[in-house]
Amino acid sequence: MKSKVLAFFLIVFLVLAGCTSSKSKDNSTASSEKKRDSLVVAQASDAGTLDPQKQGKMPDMNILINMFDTLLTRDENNKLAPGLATEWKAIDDTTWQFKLRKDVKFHNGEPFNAEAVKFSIDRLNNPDTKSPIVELKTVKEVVVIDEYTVNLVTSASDPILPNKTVLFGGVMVPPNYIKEKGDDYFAQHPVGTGPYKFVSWQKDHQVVMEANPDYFRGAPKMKKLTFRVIPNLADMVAATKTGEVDIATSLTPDVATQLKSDSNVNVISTPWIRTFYMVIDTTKEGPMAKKEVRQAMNYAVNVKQIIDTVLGGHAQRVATIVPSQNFGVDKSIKPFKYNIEKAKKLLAQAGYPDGFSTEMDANNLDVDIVQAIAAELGKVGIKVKVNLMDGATLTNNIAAKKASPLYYLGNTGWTMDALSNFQSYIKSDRRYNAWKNAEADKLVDIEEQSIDSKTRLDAFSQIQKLLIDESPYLFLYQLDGLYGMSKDVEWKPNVMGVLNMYNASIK
Amino acid sequence: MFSYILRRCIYAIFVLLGVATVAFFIARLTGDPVAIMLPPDATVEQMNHLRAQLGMDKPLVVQYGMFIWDLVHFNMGESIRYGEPTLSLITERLPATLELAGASLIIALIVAIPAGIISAIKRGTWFDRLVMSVVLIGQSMPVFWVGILLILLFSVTWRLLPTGGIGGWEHLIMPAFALGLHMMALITRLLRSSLIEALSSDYIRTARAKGLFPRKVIGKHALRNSLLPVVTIVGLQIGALLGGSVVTEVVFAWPGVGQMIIQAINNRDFALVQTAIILLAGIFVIINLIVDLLYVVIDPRIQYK
Repeated sequence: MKSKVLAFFLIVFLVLAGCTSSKSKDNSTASSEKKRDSLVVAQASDAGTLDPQKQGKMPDMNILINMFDTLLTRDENNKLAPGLATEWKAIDDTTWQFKLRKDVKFHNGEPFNAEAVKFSIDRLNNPDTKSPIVELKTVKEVVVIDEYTVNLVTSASDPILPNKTVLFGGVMVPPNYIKEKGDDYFAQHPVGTGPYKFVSWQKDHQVVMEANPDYFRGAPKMKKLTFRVIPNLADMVAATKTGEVDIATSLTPDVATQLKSDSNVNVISTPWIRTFYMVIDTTKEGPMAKKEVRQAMNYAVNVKQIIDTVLGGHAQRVATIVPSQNFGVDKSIKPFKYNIEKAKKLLAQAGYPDGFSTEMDANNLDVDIVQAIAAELGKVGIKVKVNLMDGATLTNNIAAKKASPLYYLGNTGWTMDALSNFQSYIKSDRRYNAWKNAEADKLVDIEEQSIDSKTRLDAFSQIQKLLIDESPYLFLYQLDGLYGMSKDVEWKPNVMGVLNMYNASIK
Repeated sequence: MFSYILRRCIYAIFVLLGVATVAFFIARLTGDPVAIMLPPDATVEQMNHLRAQLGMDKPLVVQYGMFIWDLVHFNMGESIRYGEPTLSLITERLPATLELAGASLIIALIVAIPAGIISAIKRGTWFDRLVMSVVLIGQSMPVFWVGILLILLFSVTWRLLPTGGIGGWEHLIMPAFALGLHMMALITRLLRSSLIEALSSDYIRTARAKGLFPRKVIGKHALRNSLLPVVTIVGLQIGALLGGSVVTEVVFAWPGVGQMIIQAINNRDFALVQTAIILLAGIFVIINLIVDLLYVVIDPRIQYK
């Protein structure tokens, strides 16, 4: 009897669950009608603070980029473009001059001028601000030349200072407002120059913004912009299907496939500048210290197949660790071609004809990818034990030099200059270095200190050739960004993955 | 009675100090927040600088001493991620968590008490079997799975309720049900078995023999005697509700303390994790005290000196 009742309930449940796919398109018209002039964007976590100079995380930046502007920006082709500054040039080795727009006001009416630039950068670099943003640490002094001209004097030459002012190092904050109301108030009630004005913030739930009609590029098309926090991806997908959310962000390939079946949702895949690779710790004794072994590993993994199967095609193969859009990438350098025979030969040459055993660390969210890589390595006799952990633990282990000989890592070259990709990894005294090479050290010095772009390009090229030859990494791919968007929303994501919604509109 | 409460309060202080100590050291075993806060291109000097600003350059014992000193002065520290006092961050989100836990408790009791009573009285009938089967399912399903199923049915398929977030009652109903389901099942089961036991005892036979109305027999004599274990479990379960809200809040995007704790752990935001744990432990201790005092009301034979 009892089992019959149980069976009955199971059947009821299955029937109910079966209804899900058949009947999901009913209310779509109703929901799209009421959201004509407002847009809801969902991301997995909330901002920690709304003070743009006291944050350094994606969720914070995604929200703040809509309320604040930076000195420079990037155009559709990812070239440097005017922002709050219209012109910029290097006057000498250590001075960059910026000419400012004259028609810009903060949301509280305060004018934007050279004094505001000086205040902003001084505040950013003031130790009391405890800013996690390190981009403009090279700036020694900000000199006001006239009301709309300002010089940034650096302690040593900084060839990519303009690139850095595109990021939150170049964000401009209102001097009088902050002096009057104080830092704490500003962090709760931000005032910027951006296309949207702050309305309200309900922590871990949503940030609401309204259009700034006086925006210097013209008012945005949407009247209201809301950033919702939905930590669970399944919930975010559900909310996108029901139309509660217009744009779902940071989707994984499996979730994107699931959303594609919904006729109200477009899944958009756009190139990002985030590159991924397996770091090979060459500093420890053992097989990994041999260059032939490292080359063999690069030949042994069929990256193309991993992209097509595990990542659903949503990634581009890269030769080294520089994404294709960044300044300094040498496109004549080709990625390793999958060749299992060559891999075996190289291993035998290095004295490991039967392979060896090793370990690999990775974020547990990347489990599918790293297991595919481990399986590929297994085919040439390299037996890999995969250790999965949460992202923070992985970062900690790497920083404390406690990670396994192999670990899976992603890196965004924020400045869109290869300098950013190499900075923390290539030179032997850097934080995440796992490969000591005197030649590379010399080349990094050249590209970091010279302002001449030809000299720099040349140094970048040589580093990339060296990377292929020495193979201190197992080179993989740059990932695409995946978004789920209501059919009637028009918006183009940028390569950095920061959610700038100024150009978003509804058809 | 008063001296009993005083004694319990003094015990509570030691319990909370113990909890604080465990929270302090376990948090520090998980790693270095500075490595997570700063971008990969930060230099070693920048890291050391930030570490010094956060007071994390001192020996662990000194840090612990400072932590306890601050704690007894009710200074719970600042969150490194939010840059605000941890206590205000938590009290800001506590109402949402209490609202959710409270609603779950009410839903659980409203369903469980009648269901438990009726199935005890109608023991062995189809109703009893039905209730017991549902209870079995309710106890076996993990809360996150129930949550996703509810969203799939009520939001995506039928478009009756919003998928998540906070707002009116329509936002509350699914997470409260999902969170309360386990408790509902547990209490139904417990009340049923303890009522069955009471109904077969001698004083009930006497009461019936006296010719009392069945309603009075059950309501006044049987039910009151079978409530004691239920009250104990409800008390313990309120603690479980607060803990369970961590999962439920994440599934339903509910902006409460649970969601914040997950974030704080991911960011190695030590001060925030510690304060949240101490506060939740404090609530647990208080609930336990209230439960113990309730015993006196329910069972006059119990007395505290």
